[in-house]
Amino acid sequence: MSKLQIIDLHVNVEGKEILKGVNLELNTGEFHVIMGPNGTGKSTLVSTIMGHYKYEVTKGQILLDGEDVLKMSVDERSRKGLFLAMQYPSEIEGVTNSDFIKSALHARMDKDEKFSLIKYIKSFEKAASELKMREDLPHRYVNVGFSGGEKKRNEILQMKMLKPKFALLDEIDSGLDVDALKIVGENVNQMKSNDFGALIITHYERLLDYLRVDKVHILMQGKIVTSGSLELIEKIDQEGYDFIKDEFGLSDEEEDAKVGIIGSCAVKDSLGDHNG
Amino acid sequence: MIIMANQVKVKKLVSIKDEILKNSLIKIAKGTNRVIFNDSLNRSSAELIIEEAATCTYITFDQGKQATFSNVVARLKKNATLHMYNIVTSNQNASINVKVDLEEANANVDIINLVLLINQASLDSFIDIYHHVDHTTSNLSNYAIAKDEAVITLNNNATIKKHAFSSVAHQQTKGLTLSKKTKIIALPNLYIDEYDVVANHACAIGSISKEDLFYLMSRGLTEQDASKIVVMGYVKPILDHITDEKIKKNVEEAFAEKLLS
Repeated sequence: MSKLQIIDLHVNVEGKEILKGVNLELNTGEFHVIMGPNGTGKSTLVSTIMGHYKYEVTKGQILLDGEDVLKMSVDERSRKGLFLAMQYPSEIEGVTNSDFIKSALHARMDKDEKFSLIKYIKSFEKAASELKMREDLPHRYVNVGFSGGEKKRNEILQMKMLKPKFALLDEIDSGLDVDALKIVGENVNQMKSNDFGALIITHYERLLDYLRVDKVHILMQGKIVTSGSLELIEKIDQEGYDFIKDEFGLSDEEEDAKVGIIGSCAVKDSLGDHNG
Repeated sequence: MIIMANQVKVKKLVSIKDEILKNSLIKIAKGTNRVIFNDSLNRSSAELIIEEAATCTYITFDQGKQATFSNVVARLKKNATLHMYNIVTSNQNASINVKVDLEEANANVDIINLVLLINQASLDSFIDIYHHVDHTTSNLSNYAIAKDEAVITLNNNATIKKHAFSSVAHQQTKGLTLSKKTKIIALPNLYIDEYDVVANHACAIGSISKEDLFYLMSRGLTEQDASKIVVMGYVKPILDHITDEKIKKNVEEAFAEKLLS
């Protein structure tokens, strides 16, 4: 059993505080869902856990089995068992999926450990077939020329191959059609075990039809304002986030004032009231 | 005459004619197919005459054992094709000078420069392509990687002469700078004296994307391995053009070695 703890996490992006004290605890064998309106810091949270260069932690801790994650480099975090399935995965020209995953597996191996190519090929083919991906996937360059849905499935394929302790799934359901959503949902669900847990960001209830979710957290204005069971999602689906705002006395956040600069490349919406 | 792009020629091909007088003349006979491989830029010059419907694949692979240069002049006849690969992995100064005359209709040239330069070396590439007649095609692609304090200058010139209608000239340069002290300079020039033509150029030079590095590292690769993967990935699609597996493997190894040096 492993444990991921997020304690009073404060995070800035380009000088603006996005996360304002997030507390969360996740064990392997558990699936937690994070929901919240746009721009409340959901992606910031998972990207920070993985160590994205854009996010600056100003306060708080992230612990993986008691070890300080914030002191680890991105690759160390991965090798320790964290995995981020990204909303917009990079396209890596000239690197085949097969070579990429092989390199990632090599990076996890002990010096004396032997790599079985046959075992690798078999497990790759099995994972690709379970995700109903094209047969030429191993030879295609990473995410190059992939549709949105293929990219998301490729993230799940990597997750299946790398077998992390904790997966952070950042809107893995966006851009998926109904069938692909089912495939992705079922594949993630199959991984649930005493050795695997997931933190899932989603806007839609439909993905959760395929997942055995243990807890739901609502992230608003940079904090987890409430947690509960799946019933919470049903209520949000029916009533939106307003009832939470009312319940917890949250007011709408003021947006930064937009200033239009005539003579530069000002776009229409940035001109606001000055647009005549 | 319509002149596109930046109208800069950094140097002239003054040396070529003199060099040719004392160097090799290679004729590719009508309708034949020939591969020529040079294992360095070999401080020499060559004149290629590619006769009607002949195809020549001209590969130069220089691993930088010494400061060097190469001058090649190619003349293409009707329906002739030239595929030229200039592959350089070097810590030495080098220059590549190529002049191509598309003399008869449907002559076609593809040139790919694949260059990895390290330390304080500099490389000048000067490619001059002339479309003398109608229905001629040229494709010039540069893939340049500069490490440490290396400087790469890529001077690309295509001239489409009057009456060379329905001709096509493409130029593209992709550059990857692996340190703040490197420089990759692209000088694309298209000189066009005919209306009914297609001519374009494209250029993208930059460092390794931070987002790509993050993506690869988030799968457990160290920064060094992730960088190597990105750079080798940059090279690989170009190597796919080379059908000889042995040459391809040697080039891959040479790139990997220079990148890690």
